Order: sequence, then structure tokens, then C-alpha cells
Amino acid sequence: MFRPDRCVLGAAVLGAAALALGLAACLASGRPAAGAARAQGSGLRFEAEPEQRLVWSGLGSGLESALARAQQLLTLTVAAAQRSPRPMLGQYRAEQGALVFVPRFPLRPGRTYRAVAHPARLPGARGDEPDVLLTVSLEVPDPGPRTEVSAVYPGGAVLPANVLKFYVHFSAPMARGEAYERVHLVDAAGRAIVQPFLELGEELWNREGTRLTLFLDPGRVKRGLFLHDELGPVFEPGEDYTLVIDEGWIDASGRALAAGVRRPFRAGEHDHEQPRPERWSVSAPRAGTREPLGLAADEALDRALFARAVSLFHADGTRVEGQARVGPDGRAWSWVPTHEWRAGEYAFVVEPILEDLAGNSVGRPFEDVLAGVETLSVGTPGADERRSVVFSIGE
Amino acid sequence: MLQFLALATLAASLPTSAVRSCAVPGAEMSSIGSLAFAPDGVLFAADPQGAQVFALQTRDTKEDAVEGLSAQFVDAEIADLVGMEPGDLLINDLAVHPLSGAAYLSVSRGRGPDALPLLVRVGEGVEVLALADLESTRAALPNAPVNGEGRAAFNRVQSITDMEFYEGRLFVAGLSNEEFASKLRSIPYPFEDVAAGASIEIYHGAHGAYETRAPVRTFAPYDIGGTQHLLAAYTCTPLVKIPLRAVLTEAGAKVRGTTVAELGPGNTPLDMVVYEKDGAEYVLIANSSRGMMKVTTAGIADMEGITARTSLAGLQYETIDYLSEVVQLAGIDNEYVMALIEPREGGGLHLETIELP
Repeated sequence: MFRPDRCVLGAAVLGAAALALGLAACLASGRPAAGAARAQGSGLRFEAEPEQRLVWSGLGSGLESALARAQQLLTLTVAAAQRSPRPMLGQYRAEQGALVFVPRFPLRPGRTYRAVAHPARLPGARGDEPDVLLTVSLEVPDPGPRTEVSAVYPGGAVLPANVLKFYVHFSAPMARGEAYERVHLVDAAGRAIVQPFLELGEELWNREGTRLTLFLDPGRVKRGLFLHDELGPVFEPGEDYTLVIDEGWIDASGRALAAGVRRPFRAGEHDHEQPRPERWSVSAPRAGTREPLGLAADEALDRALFARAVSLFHADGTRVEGQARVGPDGRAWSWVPTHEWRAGEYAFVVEPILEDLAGNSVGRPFEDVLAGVETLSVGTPGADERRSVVFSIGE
Repeated sequence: MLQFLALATLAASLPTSAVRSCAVPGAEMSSIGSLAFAPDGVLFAADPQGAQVFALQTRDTKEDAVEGLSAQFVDAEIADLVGMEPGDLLINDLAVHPLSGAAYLSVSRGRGPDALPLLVRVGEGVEVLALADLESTRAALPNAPVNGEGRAAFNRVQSITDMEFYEGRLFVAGLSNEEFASKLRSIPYPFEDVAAGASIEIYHGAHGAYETRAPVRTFAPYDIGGTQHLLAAYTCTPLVKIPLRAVLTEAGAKVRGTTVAELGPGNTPLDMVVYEKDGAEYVLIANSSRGMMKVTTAGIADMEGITARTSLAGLQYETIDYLSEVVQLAGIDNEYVMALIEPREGGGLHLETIELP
């Protein structure tokens, strides 16, 4: 036998509109140990801890039989202005005279949700009891300072006119979905360059969402490509450009950046040469120390690849443990060893994937120049081989 | 390296402190992107953040068949069910179940790195499937060589631009967020070995004197005169036929494709579907800025490749104006295609079954 709690139903006669207004100041907190939002006197509350759940209590015994049609009794929806949203997915259960709804997906802090209980649909109800509404809004955890653009690479005042990519680093995770609307390239007169980037729907972020890779449209970088001919190359040697990042770009917490960023540079000559590790200079540390070993590349390289595409080995083939650092100019690479250096021969080994700023890799140039279309050879000899350069550390 | 990947997966799927108490569906997948079906209804779902591909056993049968599927404001409906605004969701890909005709959508709930992966089935209604409940197998995508140290390895992500199942193999086209290279992987299914799969480098020599290795954006299997091919569309927008014989027999094969059409500059192809109509074969291609193209494949078998420097060449196409708002395409059969439509006015995303032009 289902016996509604008359006291609760009495309290619910407040009326939906009045109750919703009255709850404006009654917000649940998303923080740990936060209290619950409660529609006063109605027995309807939202608990954020230890489990997010909506509880309609004081309903008496016999609730189990009503579980099959629980969604007619109690729903939780996003609060949408323009439409009647469908109820959120979740599980219903009966607990000690309370109907409990546990949402399958967590409520998003900062968004407003609306719980509706229908006392008139309870077994034994008179049928004219007004709905009970509860507005739920989880407080956004303290988001700290606004997200900033922490760096734009490559660095340097002059970049090759056929530069292939930019990396934009952020101080906190960003939201996907609007990168190509938020980054622009403008020329010296402030005119926007049309479609400079290779636009991919999924966007190229690192796992943390703190670094975006922007490839320049390869069709506007390569020689001989049709797009290059029609829209022209993105950059002309000797001209000035600025990479512009909009302030309105939204981070993962839904807030705009602290500030927009302008990164000016001049386009230099085209670079069609591959990096050559055998030309790099080595600054060898002293044996018995943990001073960093330095490499100076023959040209500026892709910092991200530089950091992971060079390894150090002892003469016996074992790896030198340590940590790589790359200078902001993409030329200087250093290695801080875990253990002290020993005197003897070493080798640094460079993966063929390591690229310069124009996408020419150690393995192959960005564009393979063909002798003629009749004599196409597939691949480039030696393109997949690592390069190894031997040096020594003295006593 | 494996440790780093495991950490990354964990980090991406952990909810914030405010939401820790709720069950996290799809905990095994840290993200969800490209989808592709095998003819028997196995669904392949890419997890680019986790550098892996899942084969999911769907439970649809022919008895569930839906026809003429249409779902208006499907983004809002999904958002309602999962407690978000439509703008908080990213709809990543669309595929149609070969047996039931139901539409499957891969969706990110949230736009940040902690977004939850959702697999949504649209049949009679909209259903958010519990990924963790689906029987699945997994293939890890071999990662690029690294010195294995520190954050450098952590930053690299292989995005997966498209997947197709063909002749017992899953083909996966991808692009790294660091090195610029065109890689196409072929993974036998059932997955035999987590590291299995040939890596194929595709060149197309269509541009006079220079070869390109631009990333494949979308592709489709295509039988040309009894020979298996992939038809691949690149970002700028050459359409290239790639013979599969070498791909299927050699690990690490390097394959030369032949450019059979140049579909115009300033454009990214989004999706393509091959079909037959009135005795002729066509490719329907959705594009970022050049609308929907219906490409006639007559003569494709004998084409030697485009070498002249013109922007529009090779196979002929017509632009289908009334399909210009299509952002995702998935083949159903030779008569119909499923489309995700984003109207320029009125908002929302809508699923529609459309008769092939």
C-alpha cells in the first residue's frame, strides 16, 4: 500500500512558479562536502556528494511498485530556454520512502538543471497537486587565473617563407571546435590571409589540450601545387606578417582567454634543404660532471620533434639516461644526464622524422624533386635510416 | 612509452572532483572519433587519444531494420539525454549499420581534454549506448619512434582522419600533430596482434616535378575493373586511386597513387561514398567549401594520372546544390545515403536519409 506523506504534499501546494523563484538562492555546490539544493518543504533535494543524485523523500512505503513508471514522477533536465528538453538518462531506485534518481552523466558545473516532481501522479494522490520544481546549478570549482597563450613556436624574428607549422601553447586546457576561427594570419597591411591553415575537423591538440598544432595548408607551401598557383603562397620572402590569436577563444572551463596575442615575424627565403646532423656542433661536458651536453643544429628545427627524436648512446650501445631540453630558437638541444659523464666515445642518434621549420626532415626533403614523371621512383633512398654521429668526452 | 600512454588514457577519462561520484561510461576509451562498419555489423571506433582502435560487437540485426531514418535536431536530443547544451558536444563521425540501417554517431561530451566519449545509436529513437557493456577487442596503433623520455612523448597524438573496412582489413588514415607524413595503416581483422598492421606511404606524383605526401582526409574502397583500390581524397583536393595489391602483401609497403581528379583549391573533402546508379558508378564527396560533388568514374581504370598544371582536371563532376549543407555522409546502399546536415540558417544538426543523386 502506497501512502503519500501528506505533510510533503501540503508543502508542495506552493505552486511551481513561486517555488522556482524562491529557489533562486538555493544552489548546490559542486565542491566537496557541499550541501544539497532543496525545494523547501517538498522533500525534493539534489545531493552533490558523495554521489550526484536527486532525492524525493517522504513518500512513504510501497515505492518499488512505482519504479517502472518513475520517469513520469520525477525528472531531471537541462534548463533550456527555447525548447522542452528530454529528461536526462539515469537510474531510479526506491530508498526508505524516497524516490532517488542517479544521473548517468555528471551535471556540468556552471550549467543550470531543472528537477520536476509530479505529486499528482503518485498513487493515491488527489490529482490536483501542483508540480514541485527544483533548480540545480553546481558551482564551478575555483578556476584560478584565466588561461593565457604561454608560447607560440617557432620562435625567431624571421621564418622561412615555406614554414610548415605553428605550435600554440596554453597555460591550461582549451576547448576544441573553434581553432580555425580564432587564429588568423595577417600581412603588413593588416589584411587577413585567406585559408592559410590545413583545417581538420578534429583539430590537432596534445592530450592535455594545452598545445595546438597548426599546419599551413600544404597546397600553399609546396611548389607546383595548383592551390599554390591560384591563391598564391601564404608567405612571400621579405614581407612582414603577424599570427593573431583572438581573445574570445574559449578554454575547457568555458572562459575566454585572458588576452589575445600577436606574434609578428618576417618571411625569409624558402628552405628546401634537409637538416644535416653531421654538421651539428657538439659542446661536450667534462667527465665526472652532470653538466648538460649541448648540440647546436645547422638550422632551426621543429622543437617538438627535436625534443624526442634525438637520443644519446654510449659506445657499447647502451642509452645515456637523462632529459632533453630544446632552446626557444629550435637550434640548441641539451641533455642533462641522470648519472655523471664518463670519459669515452658517445654517439647522438637522430631519427629520420626530425624536421626543420619547413617540414624538410632528416630523412627526406618536404618535397621530393622528381627527375621526371616517367621515371618515378617510390620513396627516397636512406629516408628511413637513423643518423648517428660519434663524438667523445675527454678526461 | 606504454606507461605514458596508460597515464594519458587515465588522465583523459578521469572526471573532475565535482563529478567523481558518477559512473563514467566508456572508461576503456579515452576518446572517440572515426567510425566504420564491417558487413556483419562489427563497429570499428577510433580512440585517437588512446592511440587505439576498438572493434565493438553491436547487437543490431536485420529484424531491427529502420528505413527512411530522419532525426531533426539530433544534437539537441543527445545533449538533453546526457545533460549538456548542444554546443557542449562535438559530433565526430557518422556510420550506418549494414544490417539494421540505424545511424551510429561518435560524440564527445564536452570540448576539453576530459570530454567523455559517447556512442549514440539513432534508430526508432536516440539511444546513448554504454560503451563499457559492448563486447570489444582492441588494436593499438604503433606510435612513432621517440627517445621515450619526458613530456616530449606525451604531447604527440596521432589523429585518425578516416577508417574503412575492406576485404577483411581495417584501413586507418591518420595524421600526427608533430611530423608531417601521410600514413595509412592496414590492420587485419579479427585483430591478431596489437602491433599488427602495414604502414603504407602514399605518394601522388600529379604535380609536375614534385611529389607530395599530404595526409589522406577521407577514402573509400573501390573495385576498379576487378582490381581492388582505395579512392582517397587529399586536403587540397586531389582524388587519388591507390592499388591495394602491394598494400595487402607487403608490410611497410610504399605505394604510389595516381591522381584521377583535381576537385579544386581552398577545400577539404569531408566524406565520400561510392555507389552505382543506372549502370554507372559515382563517388559522392562532401566538402568543406565546395559543396557536394557527384564525380563520374567513367574512364578511371585507364587514367594515367594528371600531370598538367590545371586546378580542375581528370574525372568530371557536378555540384549537387541541394546537398551543400551536408557535413557527414554514410553509405546505406546504392539508392540512399545517410547525411548529417548543418543548415546555414535555423541551427541544429539533422540526420536525413537522402536519395542518391
